[in-house]
Amino acid sequence: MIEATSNTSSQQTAPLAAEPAGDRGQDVVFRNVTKRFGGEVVAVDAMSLDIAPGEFFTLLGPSGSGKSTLLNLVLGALQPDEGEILVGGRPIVSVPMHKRNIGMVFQNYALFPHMTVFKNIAFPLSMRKMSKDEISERVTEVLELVQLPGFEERYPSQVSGGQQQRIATARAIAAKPPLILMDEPLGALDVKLRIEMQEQLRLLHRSLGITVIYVTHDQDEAMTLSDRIAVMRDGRIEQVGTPREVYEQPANTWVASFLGDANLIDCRVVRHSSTGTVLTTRGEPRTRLLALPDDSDGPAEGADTDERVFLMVRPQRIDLVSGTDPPGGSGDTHNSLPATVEAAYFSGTELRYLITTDQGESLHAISSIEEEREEFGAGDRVTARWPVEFGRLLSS
Amino acid sequence: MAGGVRPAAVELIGVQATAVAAPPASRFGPALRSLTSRYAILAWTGAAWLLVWFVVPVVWMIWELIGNQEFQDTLSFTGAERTVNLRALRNTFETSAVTTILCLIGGYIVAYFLVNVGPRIRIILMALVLIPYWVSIIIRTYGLIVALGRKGIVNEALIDLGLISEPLRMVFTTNAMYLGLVQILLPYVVLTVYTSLEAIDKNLLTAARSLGAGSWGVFRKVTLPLSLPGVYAGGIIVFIITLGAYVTPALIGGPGDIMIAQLVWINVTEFGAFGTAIVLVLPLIVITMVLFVVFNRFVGVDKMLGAGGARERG
Repeated sequence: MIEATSNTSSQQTAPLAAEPAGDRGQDVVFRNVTKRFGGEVVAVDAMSLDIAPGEFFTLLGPSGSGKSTLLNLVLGALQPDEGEILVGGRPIVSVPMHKRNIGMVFQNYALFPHMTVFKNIAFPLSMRKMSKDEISERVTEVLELVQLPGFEERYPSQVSGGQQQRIATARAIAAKPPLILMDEPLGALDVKLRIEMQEQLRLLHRSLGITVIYVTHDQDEAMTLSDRIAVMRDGRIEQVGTPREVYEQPANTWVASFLGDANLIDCRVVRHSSTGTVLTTRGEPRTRLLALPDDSDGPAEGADTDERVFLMVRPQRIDLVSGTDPPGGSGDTHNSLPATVEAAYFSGTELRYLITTDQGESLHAISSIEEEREEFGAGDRVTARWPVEFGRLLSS
Repeated sequence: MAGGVRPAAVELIGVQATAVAAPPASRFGPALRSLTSRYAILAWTGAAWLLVWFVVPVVWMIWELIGNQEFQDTLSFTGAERTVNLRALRNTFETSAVTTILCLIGGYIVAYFLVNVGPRIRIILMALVLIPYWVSIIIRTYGLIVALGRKGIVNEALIDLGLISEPLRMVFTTNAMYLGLVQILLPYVVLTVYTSLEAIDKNLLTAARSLGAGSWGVFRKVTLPLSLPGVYAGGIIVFIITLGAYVTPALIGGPGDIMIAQLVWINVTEFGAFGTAIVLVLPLIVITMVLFVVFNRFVGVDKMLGAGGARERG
């Protein structure tokens, strides 16, 4: 807290915190942002990123990927070593944390234990010197938004975890910041409550139109909530896209495996043609497989002949049919691999198979119960089939 | 611990023993339900120790002297003694209050600093706080006499610097007594406040800052209120110990700095006036107990032992 001098010096340049930003979200731009710890460890590496106004943007990655560091750089709890961050077009790196007007929801909520719910939510408002009437009006308003009316006089220790989470959210949005940051805000809740809260968050985001940067390591949560996801690893962004894009068209094998189950079939490029890329499995017996040309910047698009690549297929896309004779003729739009069922698991809504192809690769196949397909048991000979368009070529 | 224990030391031991034994007592309900647990046995051991060496002698003395004429006389505070006794009583409370305030201010600053410096400097500073704390009060007080004396290091330094030409009279003054008391009692406040500050979730400070609070706002609205249990604990410890202070006021205080403890000592050793001594001690015991009860009611005695943090309200 020996920042008194820096506070006063930056006061002239800093935008006014009490500026009525409204409920509209603002865009966030990262320009070559680098953060090192101890001069050596690079937590965030020359990151550039554009987040649209009002977007629900998720930073997804394993622990240590730099996602929380990035969040703290926006918040102002950390200073970048290089680069600039702009919120609504204004550079904020030199703005002290308490003048940035950015809401933050912490993983442990960080509610003030010595204050009532009312005082917690009123905190950012009283810091902005709002009048008593305005404050109590706004507190009532946000408590209704998070569906906790009448909780004003309780202490944080007297409410449940899910309620604490909502109070923390209410406090973060109370001063109408154009941007709120959330650091694994649902991480401490049990699964059932988490799903309920995800829906609430989504609705809240829609009704406020605020920009949200959300940090999580839970890919399901990221998929459910986000407009776009940045998949992070070792301080770099591996891929940015809508949930559908990153799931169905992962940029590389790491992203494919991080986002749910991915079957990666070890292949060699035979030739490129107008209808797609002809592949052959690297394992014996060699089997021809086909991959469609990517519509976008497919990562293995430029792969040379004979280069090692992976064909990625999601387990839900693989059908099992009995017997090892591939059905269909030359016009077949499916890839087929003969295989043996190793195990079958029933999970209530789906049947999950572990199969080994004749090339010796282990694959997962999932079929939903409603489909009423033929069921297999361990040892059955099957053919794994999937439409060519659901395979994605990834460089090794 | 035979016969001639100094009153100050008695008070000190009394305070610490009470503080150690009090948590089980404050959770008396649950303790009753688990009388046979291993921890209950530990608690009972402490309670038995207190009963035998503190409660029994005090009650017995009061009982013995209740019909004593001298006791009755002192109780009615008549004659010349009245002035002396009342002055000592007032002086004792005044000294305790001033010492407590000085220790709280100084101790809070040191503790705040300790929490906010790097781990290496913290260890060094902590050692500087703790090493004197472990040294005997007598030695530390004599150290002050030497340092503050006419030819002491302070006077020599001031003369060498040309700030004064004649040595200042510093020892045997009221200010010297406060200096002595504060330097002896400061560690209690430093430790209790440090524990309270250290227990504050750093996210709360970041949260306050992100919500628009500047450095002063964060301190006033979050840090200070959450460290109050440590402040209360340190304050009460210092106040109670100063109430029974004997050595420091006697050795380096001014001639007017008569404390109750000194008066008790004189009454017992020089006049053999046990009745008067007991009357003088009674307010100290009562105040100490009241303070403990109040503290336990609003903060919790467990906070005094370093649990720190804010108490949940219910």
